[in-house]
Amino acid sequence: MAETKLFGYGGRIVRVDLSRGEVSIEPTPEDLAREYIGGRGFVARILWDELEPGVDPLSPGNKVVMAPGPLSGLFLPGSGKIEMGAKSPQTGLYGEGNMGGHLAGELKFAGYDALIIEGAASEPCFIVIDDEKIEIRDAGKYWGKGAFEAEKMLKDDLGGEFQIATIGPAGENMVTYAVVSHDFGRQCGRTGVGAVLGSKKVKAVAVRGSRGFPVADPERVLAKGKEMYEACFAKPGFEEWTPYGTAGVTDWINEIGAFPTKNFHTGYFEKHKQINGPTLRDRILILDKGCMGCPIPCGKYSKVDYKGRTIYVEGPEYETIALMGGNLLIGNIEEVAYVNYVADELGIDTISGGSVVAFILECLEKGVLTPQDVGRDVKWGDADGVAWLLERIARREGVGELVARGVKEAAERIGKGSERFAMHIKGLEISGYESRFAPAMMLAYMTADIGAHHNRAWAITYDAAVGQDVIEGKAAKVIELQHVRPLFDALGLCRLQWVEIGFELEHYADIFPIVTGWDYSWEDLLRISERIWNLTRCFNRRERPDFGRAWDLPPPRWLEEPLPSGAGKGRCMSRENAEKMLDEYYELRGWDANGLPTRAKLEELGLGFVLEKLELD
Amino acid sequence: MRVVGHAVEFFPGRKDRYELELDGPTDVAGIIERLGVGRTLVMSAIAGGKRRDFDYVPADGEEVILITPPAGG
Amino acid sequence: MKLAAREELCSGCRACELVCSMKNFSQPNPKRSAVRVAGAFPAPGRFSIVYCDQCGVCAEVCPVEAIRKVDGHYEIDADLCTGCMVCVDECPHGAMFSHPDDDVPFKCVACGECVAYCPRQALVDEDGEVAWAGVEAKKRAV
Repeated sequence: MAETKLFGYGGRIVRVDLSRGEVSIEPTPEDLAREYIGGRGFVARILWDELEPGVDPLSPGNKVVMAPGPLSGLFLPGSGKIEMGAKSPQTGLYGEGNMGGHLAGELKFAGYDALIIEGAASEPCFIVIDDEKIEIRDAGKYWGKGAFEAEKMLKDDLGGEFQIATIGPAGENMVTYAVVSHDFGRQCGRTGVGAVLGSKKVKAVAVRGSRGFPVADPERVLAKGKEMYEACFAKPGFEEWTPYGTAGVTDWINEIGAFPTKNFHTGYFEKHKQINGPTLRDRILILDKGCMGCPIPCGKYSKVDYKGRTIYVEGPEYETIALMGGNLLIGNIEEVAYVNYVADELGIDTISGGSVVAFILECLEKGVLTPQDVGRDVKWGDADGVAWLLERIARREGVGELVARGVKEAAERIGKGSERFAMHIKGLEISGYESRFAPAMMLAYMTADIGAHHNRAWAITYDAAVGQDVIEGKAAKVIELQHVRPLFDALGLCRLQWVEIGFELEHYADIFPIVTGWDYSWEDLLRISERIWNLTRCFNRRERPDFGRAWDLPPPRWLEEPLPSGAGKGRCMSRENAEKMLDEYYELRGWDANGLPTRAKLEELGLGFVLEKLELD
Repeated sequence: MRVVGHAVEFFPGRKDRYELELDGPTDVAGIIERLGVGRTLVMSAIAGGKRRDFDYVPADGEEVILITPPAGG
Repeated sequence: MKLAAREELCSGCRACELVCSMKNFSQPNPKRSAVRVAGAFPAPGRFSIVYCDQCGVCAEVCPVEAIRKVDGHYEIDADLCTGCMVCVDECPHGAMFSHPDDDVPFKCVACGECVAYCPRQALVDEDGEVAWAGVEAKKRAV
């Protein structure tokens, strides 16, 4: 049967079976591309189709799927994003992250729309994709090295043209919040994708591509790309936002009382100006570094002379400023950059890592853990102590072993009331927005599919606009954001041009048809995003038969402790209001009272096949 | 007065340009209040090509650009 | 149009590689770009740009005189080219490229798109003929 040519796609999927040591290439199925687009859509559908329900995430039966999207690798703003997903070893649910850099494009240029890694190797290895030549090679000399260290070695050994993704020692040791690193400063997969690769003994993936990929109407795609760049150049944010990147929001977040401070004890950090965007630029920045095609490079590549060592780090960006700055009471930009560097080289997610460290510090403060238990009396704001803890975590030594699977499990093991300050939802640590004075953001965290992450919906400005005390009527906005933002993750694009400088969504609607040749409207694309949203919800239910409303609730601190300071002083979410928000949310989504998609909703979205493998009431 | 960014949708009439007649010298914070908009919907202000604090008092006829918070991270 | 680079401004985004290959080969493919970005990381942490400054060495060394000056820049006549690739070896900037699928090498033809669309204005036209696209775009926006 003749294969239909796909436009905007590499046209092939690579499958690497590490147990057999075999590589196979399949054509990208047209219906998969038409119905799931790419990126996150491919990850979700492939994991649903191919994983055995109940598979141990750190066993050979789990799979890692890496996928760019049809708009990755194009001449258009923000065309550099790749998704990586697997069943999460931390949450036991759907796990996925995205990152920029240049890997998404390179995989497309090599001719591929997805890489599926399955089974497990018996010895450390790395996967090399060089157009049609794909090999599994011995990684003995790289195993044990830091994430950047290994990337540098591989670039030297293979050639600078290769785009490399690595795991650090934390991934090798299967710390469940280990991430994948790339391009000397980008990371993804905070649900433990790095750990899954570590369980398969995959140290790195290296890609070089020279084949390019076809687009339906090259002339119009080029003209539209030019129009898109010109539109970005003309935005005030192009000049205003770029110098600080995501760090630029630090002061405002403090002003509205949403800055994680001292393990989410409060929402305002007195020293926020010492770790904000202008301070970063002033004191440590050496380069504005960008992902493929990006006109507003958010990468703040920095150099710090820290106690006699010179370290380089791409950051700290906002999340790290929040979770390793305010959340640990480190009010000094050089110190935040230093602990950022330590986490990055070890391959530890700075969000979860920051939250785990904060949890340990609060345990120490409350006497739930003693300095003998921890091995060191680490104080709030103690950057060297934090760095020491990160090393212990990466190597799973002492206290590191206790917390290597995240705060939820650590609190279950430690007990003594520590569950009350383990800041997670669904087992994933909360990212950079203290939400007791931002109900829409809290709802966003409660309902994100992978656990508490802001990628899916960022609703703080909406809270500020409509009223930070208002509870009713916020679900619709959260749902809207949960369709638009993850759509970028399916298209293989960065959303920050839209999010940060107001680049219009219409541009993406315009270019999609002329790249793919498919007459999809923006509404069609949002419908696919809604499909993927419901699919991952079902994935979670399939993995955990008790999955439902109870999993969507906020942590005890957010239900029991009013904010002690800042703009939101005295505010707290109540169980009653949280349930009210969920009621409204489930109803608008067409889900039942337990937060599960109804049969009608699944049929409507073309997800009827889900019912073959999942029983829903 | 020019408003840029996502929160434009929450400004009066969803406009992104306003001309204000003020009784006397007013600082940026006061101008935002005159617009009838919450202070937290403005993240920073630019006038004369430079970032300004909220206590900056613009000159007669000076254009002030209000940067609203982003739609996210 | 004469390319020059201000490397300290380069963010490594490679929009130049993407527009070059789209314009000149109708496909997104940095391996068919006549301008290339390279990074030096983790240290010192900066990018360098390989580009053609139309120095003419390629024309001098071509054994069959397939490379000629046209409108101030050097172009390869594909009909005359024998694919010997001596020009690729001899280019002092490494700005003559060959792609594994092609018999004939390729080089910058001074189309100016990279100058117009580099978001950082790290690539400029020394002759001042090609402007950064943002200049006009900003005027239109006001």
